Amino acid sequence: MAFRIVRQVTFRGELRERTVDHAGDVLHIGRGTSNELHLDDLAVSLIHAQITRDSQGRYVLKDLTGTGATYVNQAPVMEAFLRSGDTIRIQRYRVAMSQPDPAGPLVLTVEEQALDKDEPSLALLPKLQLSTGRWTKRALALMLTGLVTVGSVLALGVGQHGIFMPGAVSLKHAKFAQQCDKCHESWKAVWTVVPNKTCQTCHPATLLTPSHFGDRALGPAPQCASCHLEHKGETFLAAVPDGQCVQCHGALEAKNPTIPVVTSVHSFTRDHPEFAISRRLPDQPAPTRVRLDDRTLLKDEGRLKLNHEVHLAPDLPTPAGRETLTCASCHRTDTEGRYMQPIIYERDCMRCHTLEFDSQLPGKTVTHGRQPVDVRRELEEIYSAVFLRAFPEEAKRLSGVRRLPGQPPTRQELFVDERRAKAERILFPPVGKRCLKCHEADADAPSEERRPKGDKSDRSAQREPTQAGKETPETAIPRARGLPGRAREATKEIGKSDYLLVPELDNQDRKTLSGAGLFRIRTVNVPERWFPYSRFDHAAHFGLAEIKKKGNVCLACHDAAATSRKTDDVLVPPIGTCRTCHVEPGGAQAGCRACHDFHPKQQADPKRSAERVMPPARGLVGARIESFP
Amino acid sequence: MGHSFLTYRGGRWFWICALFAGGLTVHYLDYRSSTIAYGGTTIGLLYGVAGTLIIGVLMYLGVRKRSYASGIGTLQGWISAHVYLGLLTLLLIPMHAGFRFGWDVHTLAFVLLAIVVLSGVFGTVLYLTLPARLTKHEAGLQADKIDKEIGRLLADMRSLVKDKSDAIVRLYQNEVAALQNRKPSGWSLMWRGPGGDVIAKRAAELAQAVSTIPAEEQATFRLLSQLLLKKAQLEVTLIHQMRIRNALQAWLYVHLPVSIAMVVTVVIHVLVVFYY
Repeated sequence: MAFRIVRQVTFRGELRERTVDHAGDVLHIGRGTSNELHLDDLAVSLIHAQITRDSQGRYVLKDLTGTGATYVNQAPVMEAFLRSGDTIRIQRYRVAMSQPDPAGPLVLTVEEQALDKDEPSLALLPKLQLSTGRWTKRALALMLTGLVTVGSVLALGVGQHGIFMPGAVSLKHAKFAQQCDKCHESWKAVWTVVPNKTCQTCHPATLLTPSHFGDRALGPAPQCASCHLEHKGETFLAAVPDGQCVQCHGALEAKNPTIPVVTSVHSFTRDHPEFAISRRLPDQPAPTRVRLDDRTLLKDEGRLKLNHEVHLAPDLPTPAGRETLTCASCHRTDTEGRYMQPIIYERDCMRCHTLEFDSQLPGKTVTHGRQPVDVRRELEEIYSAVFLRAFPEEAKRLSGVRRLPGQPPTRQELFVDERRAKAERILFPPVGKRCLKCHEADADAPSEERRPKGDKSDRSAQREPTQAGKETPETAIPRARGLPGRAREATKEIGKSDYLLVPELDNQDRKTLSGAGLFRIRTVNVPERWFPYSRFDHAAHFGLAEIKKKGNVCLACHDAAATSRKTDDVLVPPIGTCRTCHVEPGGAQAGCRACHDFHPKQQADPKRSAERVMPPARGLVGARIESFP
Repeated sequence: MGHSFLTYRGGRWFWICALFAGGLTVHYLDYRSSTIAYGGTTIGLLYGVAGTLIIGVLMYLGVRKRSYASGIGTLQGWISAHVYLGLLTLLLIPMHAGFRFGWDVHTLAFVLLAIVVLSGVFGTVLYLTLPARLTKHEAGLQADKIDKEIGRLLADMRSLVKDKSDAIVRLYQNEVAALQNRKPSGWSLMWRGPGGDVIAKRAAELAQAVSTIPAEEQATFRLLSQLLLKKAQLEVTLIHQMRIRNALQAWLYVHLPVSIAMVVTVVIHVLVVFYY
């Protein structure tokens, strides 16, 4: 027996001394229960130390923790010989050594220090902890919360409402940005917007009527503020982003499956459909949208014969000599340079396509824009004037006298008839090509002259060869005698003068005269704008380097015009042409509002000049020139 | 990282939140392409409500971790959800606002949220890295035990010097005074550390003091020196441990107070958007 362990234990409430003997040569000390000297404290290592009795009977203490947490007589040791009277200390345990009998066992008397005996004032740990610092989490939370709350209340108090705004106010509204009550009345739900009447206190209600929530309404018109989003930064409220359009146009069929034209559009670059013009098809009551890539239906319904290729050919013969025309020779932009003006005969065509009708009356033309029946009347007036100037005595003789039925025609009638017929042969078909070079004759009124049955007063334009032989001596007089002399002089004077203003025919006249069977000129119906709802600026494109470098700025986009031979050709560029530059991202602007307007421009904005206001869009067919009645 | 809250149940919350984030991104891109994204749209409000609910769940962790008897999931599951849901808000809330920020109370709420989440991320990183280092420093003793051990060393020194000359007693008294006058240094500890090789410095001091000690007390002095050095060594160990322990707690001094302030700001945000 080498060791005897003496411990104080509490047994049934009493403190008793318990002695345990250990026979081996090694005594283990530690927290683990396998140790012979079991020290029940977490601070003690599992096997903390061991005492060995060597062959000479000496006792050797060895620290097994490696940290020197074992003390002998207060000194930290790693290994030490133990003598009687030594005290080992391990944490709160003190083990006193004694060996009453030098040959007997080493007696270890274990003394346990009470758990909380340490002087609190000497504790180091609290001074190293965060919780004893100046700031506690609670204090910080209170301070920050107070800061936020007080700051908000203060801002409200001093009128700094800006910090409550979800983004800056738009540029135009910035001047009353701090006056919230201008727009916001009281508590309102977050999912509602400022009502229209608030906007209309400043903005006229008519300007705010959205065009496409009228006859083709998909539902109630949205509130102003649901598209013109305020508090979304220093922008213009009018600059509505595409998303607002795409909201509905991304899936129109979802809004209303009965809409005839359902094309989903998300962006110009990605899926905007090909541009479409409007045509009135014969079997369709409503105008039909015809896309520019629809080869079967795409057709210019304008009835003005035009071969662009011929016009653009070099060295075209004109009255002023050979000349190479450009687009601008005929097409002109408006004062702002935005849109092309309608073609006006007098300005754009007449220089080459004169309406002269008599080589003896050089420079004298019939008035453009009249139906043949009116032109005939004008010719009669002109030649009557010529006749009467040549033979003033005839005017005296005939004034107020009407030729009786059955009487032979007067010299004046014969003169006028002959000269008019000659002029009509220049102007009218089938011989003359002045009118029908550009215009079409109406389908139900053939260009062949139809003479009413039994009309003995032959006032037709066509003089048949047989008639020539039937001429009376009376009819021969003006031709033989008048014209080479006095009539020719008069003709020259008339040619210079401009006083012959033929009054417009009233409807009754026209009805009567149309009975004469002259052809009628078709309504030209040239579209003034192909896309009446779009916005475009020609001038903005002319200056671009990309367009300039192509030579002819018009043909840069309207490239088909150079080779177009048919009137039917629609020469407005397809969407692909626009997309060469207008692409997102990175390209020229390609937003909806670059071309489309939402609100109608029926009312002129007083702040803008009259010219800047677009012509009103008149339905899908758009504006047409109707120069013929 | 054999078994951490990040990989709780095979990273269940990671996958839930990752799927949610992916779906949310797809949904947001679609929503954004079809309309103007901001907090007031139907979808924007939906995002906002979802964000508020998530913030509610995040804040509830503070209650849940203290209620040991609670049966609503394990605490590890809660922390796992807390981490990933917190990260999710950094995506969800900007989407709620349509990524519109400004100098206003609404953005303040998000900034505070971002601070809370980022401090949480920082805390998570600390929890993943520091405990391993702490274990190394705790090889000897844990902090509270070291403190008691230092107390016992002082008691031993006191009994050692009580019948000795003033020179030796002064050594003891200086030691006690230094401990008593020490200022709380929990925060500065984290970046300052124990301050160089304290033990070597202390040993040098003691070597200098040896000449002032009478010859008959040299043995006592040697023992006292040993105790003093032992104490210094324990202190260094304690400081190393406390640096790490404090770091594990320090981020909470941002995380918690700012989260409370964030909730208050969210309340202000909701009140404001309903008013205007």
